[in-house]
Amino acid sequence: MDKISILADNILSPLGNSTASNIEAMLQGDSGIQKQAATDLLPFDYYASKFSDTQIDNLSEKFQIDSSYSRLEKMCLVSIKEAMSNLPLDLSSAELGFIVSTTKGNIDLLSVNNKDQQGKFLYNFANNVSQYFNNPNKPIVISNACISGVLGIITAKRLLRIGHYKHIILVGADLISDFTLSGFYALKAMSSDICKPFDKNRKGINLGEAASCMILSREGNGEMPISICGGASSNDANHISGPSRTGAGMIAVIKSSFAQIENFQKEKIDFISAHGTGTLYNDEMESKAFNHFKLNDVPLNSFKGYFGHTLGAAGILESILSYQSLLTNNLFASRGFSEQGTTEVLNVLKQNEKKDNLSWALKTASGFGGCNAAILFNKLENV
Amino acid sequence: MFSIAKYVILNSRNIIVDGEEFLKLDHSLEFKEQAKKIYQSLEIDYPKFYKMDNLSKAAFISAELLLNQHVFNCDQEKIGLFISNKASSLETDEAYYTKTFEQDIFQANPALFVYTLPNIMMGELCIRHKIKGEQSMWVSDNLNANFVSKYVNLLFNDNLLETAVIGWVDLYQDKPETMLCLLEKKEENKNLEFNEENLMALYQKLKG
Repeated sequence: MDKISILADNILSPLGNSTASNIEAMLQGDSGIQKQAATDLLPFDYYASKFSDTQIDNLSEKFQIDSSYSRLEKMCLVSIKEAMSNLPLDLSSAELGFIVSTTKGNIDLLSVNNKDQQGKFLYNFANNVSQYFNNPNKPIVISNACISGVLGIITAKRLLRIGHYKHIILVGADLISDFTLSGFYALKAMSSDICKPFDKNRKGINLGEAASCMILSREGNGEMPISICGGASSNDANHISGPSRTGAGMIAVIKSSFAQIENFQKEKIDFISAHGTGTLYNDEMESKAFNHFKLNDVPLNSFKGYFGHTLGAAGILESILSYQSLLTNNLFASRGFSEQGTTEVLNVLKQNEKKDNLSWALKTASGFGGCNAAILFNKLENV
Repeated sequence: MFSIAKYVILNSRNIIVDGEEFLKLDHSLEFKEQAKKIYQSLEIDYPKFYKMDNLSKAAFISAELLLNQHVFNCDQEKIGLFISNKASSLETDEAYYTKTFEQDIFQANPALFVYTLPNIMMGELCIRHKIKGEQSMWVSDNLNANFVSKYVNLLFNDNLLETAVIGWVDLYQDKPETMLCLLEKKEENKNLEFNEENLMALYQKLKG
């Protein structure tokens, strides 16, 4: 049997500590993105979605997480513990594996001029998280730029299917750091305002911090009537820091995902959760890929206007929101969008919408290095 | 069944192609200089090479030697690329950090920043060799040959891939360590079968 279940999930962001509290904030139109002042190291103002100084520390105290863990490790541990509440799962079991999606790990450790830190190695960061729960397996670390999160879900699904593990804790997280801020600033990729994915006046991205967690299993019991379908990654082999102009790599992963589902017809798709970073090139590229499949009329959103681009956490966070949309028959507005701004016209959601029965969602992601990923979620009817 | 049709190992001592020493390396040279010498000896015209960071250069040279006479006989979308390493992009991260924050004036170099992701070297290989299929960049202290062989074989079995380049590409503190394998459907039994044991044996040869 290929049946993979989602047992539980969590989104830990500046908007809330649980999936439910994040959704509540989103439905009220809140965004975590705020103006941040320049510092000695970073001589420019910027917009980003950042945790308050106390949010992570307070949560760590609540869960009695030792202060020796790094900020990012605390975010991951809190997200896993929030997701785990009431779940009778033994995280120290050898049949349970950890997958960690991150682009930069404990990158803040470079900035304290402490270059011998072991924690700066991504595998040590991931080990610190899995060993907290006394798990005997080496965590699998996926560091594939901005598709790391979606690729984490695809990888988890594949490994569960072949029985490599019985259960998987998938956690994605990244920090906002001077390091990443300076780089996106230098690339002129940062918006001087709250980002406006797919809008005519979009000017770039906002960075965001978050941790997100999905607990997946071969042995579900109807916890969540959601099936993870398809799933593919690709490279457009075009440019290391820009997407292909034609959307070829994105088209390839969508096509591969459709082909993996028996009797699938693209007309079934109820909405698309796009990568939608708010840069000129990404959103334009995605519009071309969706147009290729004539998905122009399918309701579409980007969640970046609520959370910013949360890098390694993004694909998991946005997938959780996508299948929560299916479960609650709610479509979220694509925050920041007001006017069509891509060559191919898309049906970008201006308002939250309540629907009768949502069934299929397509989730996409794209990143530096030319990588693309897509996956579909399906709400199971007869559970 | 899939086999390891060809492999290349590069470390500070030498380069090995299919078990034969291809080149002895002068480990008194910085890798940047060493890489330049090897690149020139390959007699190819690919000026982008000079813009790459050292991790990408190590990957690039290894892939050139792996694929120089190879023609892929399948859709570009059916060629996979799976690389693991230990230090992610830390070598370039540290250089970028120093240049950006430890100078008198704040000045961030976008061309250097782009290389502060470990999968950028995979992007470089994809551009050079038109590899467009499934891909993944993994970070672990040692090659997780059990996981890698299971994962890639699963994609072969699902017909998502027909061939793949896989291996280990690490570079930290100027010490390169790469091992790349070309995986193909088995035709002759003289080939190495693609499995955990054979993958691990090549990794150990690299670490040797």
